[in-house]
Amino acid sequence: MNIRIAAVCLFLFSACAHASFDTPREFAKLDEEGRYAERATSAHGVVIAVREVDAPEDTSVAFWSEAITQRLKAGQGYALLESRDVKARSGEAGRLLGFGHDQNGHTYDYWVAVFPQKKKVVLLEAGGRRDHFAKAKNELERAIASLALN
Amino acid sequence: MPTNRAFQRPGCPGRLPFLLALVLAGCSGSATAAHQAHLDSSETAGADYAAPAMPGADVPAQEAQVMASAPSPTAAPRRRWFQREATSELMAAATPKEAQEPAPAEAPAMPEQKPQTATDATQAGPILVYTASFLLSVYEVEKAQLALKAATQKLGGFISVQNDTQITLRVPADKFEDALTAVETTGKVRARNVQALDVGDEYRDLGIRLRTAEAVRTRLEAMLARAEKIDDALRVEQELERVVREIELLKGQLRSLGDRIAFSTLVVEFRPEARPDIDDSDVFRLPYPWLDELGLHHLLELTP
Repeated sequence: MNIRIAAVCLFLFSACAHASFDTPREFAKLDEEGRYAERATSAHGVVIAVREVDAPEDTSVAFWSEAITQRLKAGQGYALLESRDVKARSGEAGRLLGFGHDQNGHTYDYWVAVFPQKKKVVLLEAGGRRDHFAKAKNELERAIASLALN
Repeated sequence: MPTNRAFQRPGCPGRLPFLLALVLAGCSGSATAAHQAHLDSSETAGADYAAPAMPGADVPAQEAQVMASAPSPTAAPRRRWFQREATSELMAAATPKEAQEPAPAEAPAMPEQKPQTATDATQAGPILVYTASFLLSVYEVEKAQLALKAATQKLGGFISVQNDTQITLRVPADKFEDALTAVETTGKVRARNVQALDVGDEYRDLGIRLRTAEAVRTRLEAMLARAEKIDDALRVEQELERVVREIELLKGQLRSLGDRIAFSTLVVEFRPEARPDIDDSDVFRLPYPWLDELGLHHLLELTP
C-alpha cells in the first residue's frame, strides 16, 4: 500500500516538475507565475530564465536553431554572433545561439539555448547589457550546464 | 397707420397705387436697415413679432431663439458652447424623424413656441456647417460600408446616399468629430477634406427676409379685405400671391439651411485595395507564437 502511494506521489511530482537550473551566484531568483518556469537576475539586470514551450514531436535542434535565428535576425534586428553545441546536466544535447542587439546607445547580449524534447522545447535564455553580461558569463555558462530537463 | 386710413377713404382711389407700391417696396429685397426699422416700428409690427403657429413657421421662431441665446461679442470663449446650443436647437427642427428616433435622449425637445422679437435677429454669432470628404482604401468595400453604416446609426445619424463606391453620411453636428474618427478607422485614408463654413449671416438674413415678407402678407391681406373695387382687389391678390410664394421659398431655404447646420455631412469614397495573396513580408512566420516572445524585451522585464 505504501509503495503504491509513493508511486503515485512520484508520478505526480514528475508530472509537475519543470526544467530548472542552479541559480548563478550573485543572482536572485524571481517568483515566476507567467511566461518562465524559473528566472533569476543579477543586481545589474543580467537575467537568466528557462521555460518549456509546446512543439511538434521529433523536431531537431537544427530546425529550432534556424527558426529562432531567422525570427530574431529578420524580425527584431538581432545579429547572430555565435552558435555552439551545449549539453544539459541530464545529458540532453542542445545548441546555444548568441546574439547581439543595440538599443538606446547600448549593446546587449542575448543567449538562447534550445533543447528539443518529445513534444516540447526547453529554452534557456540569458541577456543583459554587454558590460555586465561579460562579467556574468562564467556564471551563466555554469547555469546552462546545470540545466535539468524533466 | 396712414396707409390703412388712406385706403379706407372711398373717395381717394388715386392714392392706392402709391400706397401699394410703398407696401410692396417693403416686401422685396434683403435684410436692410430700412427693413429692420420697418419691423421695429410699432406701426408695422404693432407688438413683438409672434411666430405663426403653422408647421413650416417653426424655423424662424427657433432661429430667433438661437439669436437670443447668442453671447455678447466679449464672450468669445463661450462661442463653442453657443454653437453647440445653436445646433441642438436647430437639430430638432431639421432632424428627420427616423434619424431622431435612435437617440431620443440627445435630441433636444422642440422649443416652445413663444413670441420672438424681430430685433433678436440682429444678434451676431457664427453658425457653422460642418462637411468632410474622404477617399478611403479598403480591402472589402461592402464590409467597410456596413461598418460605417453601423457607426453612423450609433451616433444618431443616417445614410443619405449610398452606391457601390460611395456613401454619404449625415450625423448630428455635435457628433461630427466622432464620425470623423469612425471614418478614419474604417480604412486607409488616402485623402481628407474637412470644412467648417459660417452661415450665420445667411441664416439671419433669411430669417429677417421671411419676417418682412410675412408682415407684408399680413398688410396685403388687410388691404384685400378692405378693397372695394375689383381692379384693386385683383392687383392686391396678385401681389399677395407673389408674397406667399416668396414666403414658402424662404421657409424652404431656412429649413434646408437648418438641416445643414444640425446635421454634418460626410462623403466617403471607397477605393478597393487588392489584398495580397501571400504574406510578402521579409519575416516568415512559423505557427509558434512563442517565437514572437523571444528577445530581451520580455526577458529583462522584471516589473510585475
